[in-house]
Amino acid sequence: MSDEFQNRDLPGIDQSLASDESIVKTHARIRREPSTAYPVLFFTCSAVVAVIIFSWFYARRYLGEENSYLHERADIALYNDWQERPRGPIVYDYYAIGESLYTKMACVGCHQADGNGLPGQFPPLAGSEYVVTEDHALPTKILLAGLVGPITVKGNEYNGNMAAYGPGLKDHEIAGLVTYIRKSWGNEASEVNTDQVAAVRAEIGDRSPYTVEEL
Amino acid sequence: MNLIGNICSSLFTDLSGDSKSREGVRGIDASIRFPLLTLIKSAFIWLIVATVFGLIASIKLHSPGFLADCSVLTYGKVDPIFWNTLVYGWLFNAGLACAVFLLSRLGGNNVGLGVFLTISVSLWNTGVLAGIIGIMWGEQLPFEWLEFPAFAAPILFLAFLGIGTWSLLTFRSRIHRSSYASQWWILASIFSFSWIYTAAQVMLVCMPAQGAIQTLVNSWYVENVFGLFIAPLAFATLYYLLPKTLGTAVVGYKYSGWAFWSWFLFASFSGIADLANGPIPAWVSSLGVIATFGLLIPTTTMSIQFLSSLFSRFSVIWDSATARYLLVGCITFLLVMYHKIFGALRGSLDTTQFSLYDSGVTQLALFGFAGMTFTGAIYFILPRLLNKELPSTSLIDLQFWSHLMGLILVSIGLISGGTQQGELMNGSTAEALVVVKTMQSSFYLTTIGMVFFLIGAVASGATYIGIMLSTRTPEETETSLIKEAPELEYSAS
Repeated sequence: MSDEFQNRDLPGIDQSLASDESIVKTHARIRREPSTAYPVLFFTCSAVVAVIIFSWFYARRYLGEENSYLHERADIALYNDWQERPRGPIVYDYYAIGESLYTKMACVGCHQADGNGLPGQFPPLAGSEYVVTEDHALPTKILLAGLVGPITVKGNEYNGNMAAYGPGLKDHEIAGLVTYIRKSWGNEASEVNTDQVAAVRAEIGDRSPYTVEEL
Repeated sequence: MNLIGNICSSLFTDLSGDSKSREGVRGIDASIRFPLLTLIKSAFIWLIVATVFGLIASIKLHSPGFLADCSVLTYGKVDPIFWNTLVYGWLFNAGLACAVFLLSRLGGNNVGLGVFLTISVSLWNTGVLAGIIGIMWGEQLPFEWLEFPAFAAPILFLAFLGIGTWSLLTFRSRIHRSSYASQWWILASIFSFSWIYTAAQVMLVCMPAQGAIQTLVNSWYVENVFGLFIAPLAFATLYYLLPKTLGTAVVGYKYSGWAFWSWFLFASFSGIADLANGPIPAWVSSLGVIATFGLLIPTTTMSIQFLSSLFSRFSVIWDSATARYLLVGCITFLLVMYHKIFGALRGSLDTTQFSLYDSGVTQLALFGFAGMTFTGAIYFILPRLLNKELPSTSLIDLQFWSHLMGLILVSIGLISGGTQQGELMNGSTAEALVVVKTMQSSFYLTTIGMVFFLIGAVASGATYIGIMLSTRTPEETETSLIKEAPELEYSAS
């Protein structure tokens, strides 16, 4: 290597000031020997302390609520309060429930919107002795378990087949339907509530459709 | 690896080969010349492509009518093309070029297999090209930084496997038993990328995870491409080139192991911090915030190591272009980590989330920290591969200053503009149109910055073409222009 090439002669080349081998070996030695690089040590340790303190407080604040989608303690408390807000007993408007179900379900197809049924095929509900009877359990039983075979309503003979709605409807819905048919189209019988339906349901259990004799 | 290196270096303290002479080093350089030039050439081409698309995307933000009639150049395609060429085109090629050079030089041995490496590199660039064409075709996938259509993924994976295998073989055939920090960072980054790319592809494309898990995987992947691949390669380059250009050992090198392990511990799950307010349990992003804050440890260690070394021989930056690039890279690293660590806190996210802030920090990290470091390294490598001078120092100055100008303008435009945007959007009275109007000046600033980036990219491309095409002077053909490097003196530090 001739000496005439100096750094300033070759501005387009960054001359290397350390050979590869000496880089590897010198640094390996630095790692073996005790260190005097106190600034690096000091600031690294400070960073470690800062990270530990930060993580401690941050984790205590934000990692507590495992399944929450909310971050802030205040929001989580607000949400929990709302979840546990005082709730009174549920008050049903049985007539409205029944009215809505009557038209939505199969009832209206056979017994008709005016509750008169179809002559010769489906018995009427309006003024029917089975509906307006003092014994509110009677229409409830028919609705819960169904009814088959011949039946005489308001002097006319019918021989049909009514399905059981007990399995598909909840107690308050049954109560709503029974209340609705007992209070519509001129019928004026008492209201039926959820507890009464539950009692009837418990009494009859899971059974096959009634015949008139069994009622 | 740190531990293994320690054990090995204490067992075999003096098992070195005879690459002392300049001839041995030239042999190593010759064996990797062709694949390295392929990497560097592709890197510069992709850099120019990326900045052109970045410029178009940036113009579209303030002048939506610009090129609106061309279906290939709609914003929805230009923006992913910009990011993907920037990451997989420019940074991967440039970073891997540094990795290949460092591993061969530090290993002190000529592993050969240049053809294998060249094929892998060409395959990688074919994969990137196929992916870009796929995006233009309209086949892009809806995941950030994974927009390449599914057919590009196996090509990229195979190519990366090839490059990774070459790196492992080179490391294995090293003649010095003790390993250097650059080698740990490079090997770890290669294992990490194989892992995160496979995991992300499997969970997003092959067997897609359900619902919100996809966003989790995606943001984990995006953060890790920077944290576990690009940044480690930049650290490796800094650890190698600082002693090289400054002629002094890295200050406080003893603590590099702490920095290495704590970085990989925390960086791997820091990405999930930006999912705050998303449809995932709050503890996930809280964990991400804690991990991001943990990055304070390696950031402190490494920035003090790098900056102390630089300041101990500060006058070198007037002589050495590479040292100047490294200085900017180190300072940008500090800025990026400041924004990443404190930007992940919930209080900052309230303002910066869903604004341009994130994009600004990412560009600062990619163009600034990684881009500056890799460019400096390439200017160091090129004369050694070709035994020629870089054709023009003013061209390098032009590239340096325009890149720096672009960096300042783009990061001010996006980071401060993004903060402003977030504040306006948080105010319940601000109308969307008012927010956009206020942002106009930031968008113009970004566009001017992108123009500077483009000038820089073209200048670096011109440097490459110049050094490749220039005829050799008599000195260049007869003698080695590279002087024998002096030994690095040991001093307790």
